[in-house]
Amino acid sequence: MYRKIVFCADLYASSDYAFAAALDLAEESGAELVVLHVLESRHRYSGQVITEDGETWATEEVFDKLKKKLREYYLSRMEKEDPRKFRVEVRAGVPWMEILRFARREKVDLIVMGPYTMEDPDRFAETDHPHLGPNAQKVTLRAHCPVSITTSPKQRLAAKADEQSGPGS
Amino acid sequence: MAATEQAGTVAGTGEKGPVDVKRVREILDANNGARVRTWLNLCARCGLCAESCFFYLAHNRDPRLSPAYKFKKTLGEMYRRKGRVDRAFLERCHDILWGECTTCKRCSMYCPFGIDIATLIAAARGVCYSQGIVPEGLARTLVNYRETGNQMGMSVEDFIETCEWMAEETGDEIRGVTIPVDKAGAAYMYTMNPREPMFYPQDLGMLAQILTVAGEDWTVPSTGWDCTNLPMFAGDRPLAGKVVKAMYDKALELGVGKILLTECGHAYRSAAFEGPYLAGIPDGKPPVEIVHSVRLFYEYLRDGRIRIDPAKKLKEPATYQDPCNVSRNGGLWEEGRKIMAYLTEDFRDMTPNREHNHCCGGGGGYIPMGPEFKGRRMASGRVKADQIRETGARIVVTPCHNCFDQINDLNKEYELGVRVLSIKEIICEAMIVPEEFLPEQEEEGAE
Repeated sequence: MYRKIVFCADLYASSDYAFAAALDLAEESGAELVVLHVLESRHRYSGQVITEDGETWATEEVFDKLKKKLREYYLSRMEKEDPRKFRVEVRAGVPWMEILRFARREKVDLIVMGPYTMEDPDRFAETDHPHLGPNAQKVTLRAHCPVSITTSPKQRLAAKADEQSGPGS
Repeated sequence: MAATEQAGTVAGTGEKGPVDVKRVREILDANNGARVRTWLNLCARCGLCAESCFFYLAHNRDPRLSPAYKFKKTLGEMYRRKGRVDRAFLERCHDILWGECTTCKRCSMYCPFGIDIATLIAAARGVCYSQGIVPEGLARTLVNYRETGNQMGMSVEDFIETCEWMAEETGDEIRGVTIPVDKAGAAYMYTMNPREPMFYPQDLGMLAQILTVAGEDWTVPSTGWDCTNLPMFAGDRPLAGKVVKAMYDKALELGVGKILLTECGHAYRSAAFEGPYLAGIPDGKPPVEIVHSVRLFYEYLRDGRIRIDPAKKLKEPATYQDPCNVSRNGGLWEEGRKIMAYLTEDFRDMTPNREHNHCCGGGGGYIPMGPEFKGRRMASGRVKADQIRETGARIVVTPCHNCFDQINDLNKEYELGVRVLSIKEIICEAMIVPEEFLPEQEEEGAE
């Protein structure tokens, strides 16, 4: 049913729920799972991006460093050590735009993401109280494929995972 | 960061060896015409240029930031030393030429002798560039221009795919939108800032909506579509000429009527005014007429090809940021205000305004120079921040991506509480879409 699922890593711990749901579904359906992170540009026309080290140029070195970290982080959350159908991609720009561009170009069947956005750092502390950020809103409204916004461990996408969780989960 | 630490970032070879005095002399000799000689000798140190410069005003009227001082200490000194300069001198020049001037040309308006100080600064930038001294951010783009013909290094395939994507996207909002690529004989060939297709392709989508509703005959070229010209600001004249020539050549190849530029300031300066000289065109005129978006949008509104829904005009107080290269150096300051009259209910002009408006502080290559220069960009931008605050506007409209970026940064730095908008996004929100362009309604229950 699904051949390619993209999980949009927003770098909030809460999106681990979305990753777990995407992983379950990818394993169940034999789909490729792509972890995509978009380094947010300073402004919508800017070639400079915001990273944990501050504002910088979107260079291959910056991409590679982040890819390595994301790969290690998400592989540690997978049972299979070297899944062949798993890859990490990093882009730069306006997140919702790059997610849509990637999904269209790669003919993605399903986008899975958390609800937040880096655009509004003042609301960072509110991650305990989910709200839908502008990236999640725009991706949901504009994507050519289904989009799953996953906000809690109860929200599973794979039928098998639902069975394991038991009724009422 | 100290100025000399910033300097010495390199383009091209990355060499850090001794200065090639012969090459410096060649460049100085090439520029040593009657005009430059006269300007260098004519300055009477009257100081009238100082008050015109936002760097000077933003830094407690430091005399070292007066335009006359800046060109005397750089190009003037290079000539005085007959080109025998060392690297430490050029690195000090780098700091002045890129860190303390955006070549906005406001000083030239106030010089009683009409000395074009920006041209002198540009010549001195060329000397520094020849010795590998140029801000890193600009150097990065030069590699992309050389390899791909555009500053973001976007491939032809990616560009065309982006056009197709945006045609699909906007087709949901305006029926019949297409983005024709390489259409021979079109009335307009649209050229853009590569940051649009690369980072915010909605911009292209919005333009397509406006041109579709206006019933325009237009195309985008598969090559030569980058109308920006950062080599012009980096001091790489041969590359600057190649960049603008690629655009002219493509327009001639397609046989289009005119070249339409996006909402970009320096693209207008390059394509319409400096480009022909950079490209070696003897009469100094572009081979195809250049039209800036500000002019075309104004004509559409004036002629009723685009009509604005009065209920959708901007209600909040709005002001207009004159990009230096659209207004002062491009002559379109009245068109910008007439557009604002169509789009806003409460327009508040800045003081000073029109051709006298201050540079935002992001021009002349300053924005692409990157994070290393941000502190100084914010400090000198205080003049613009004060101008905006005094209008009481909640919205700043500007037809230039560098102004857009800079004012967004100033908005955060000085807590201005404004939104920055381009003209095309306001038109898209407010225009009356004739029935034939309304999207087809999907039938309920359709499979």
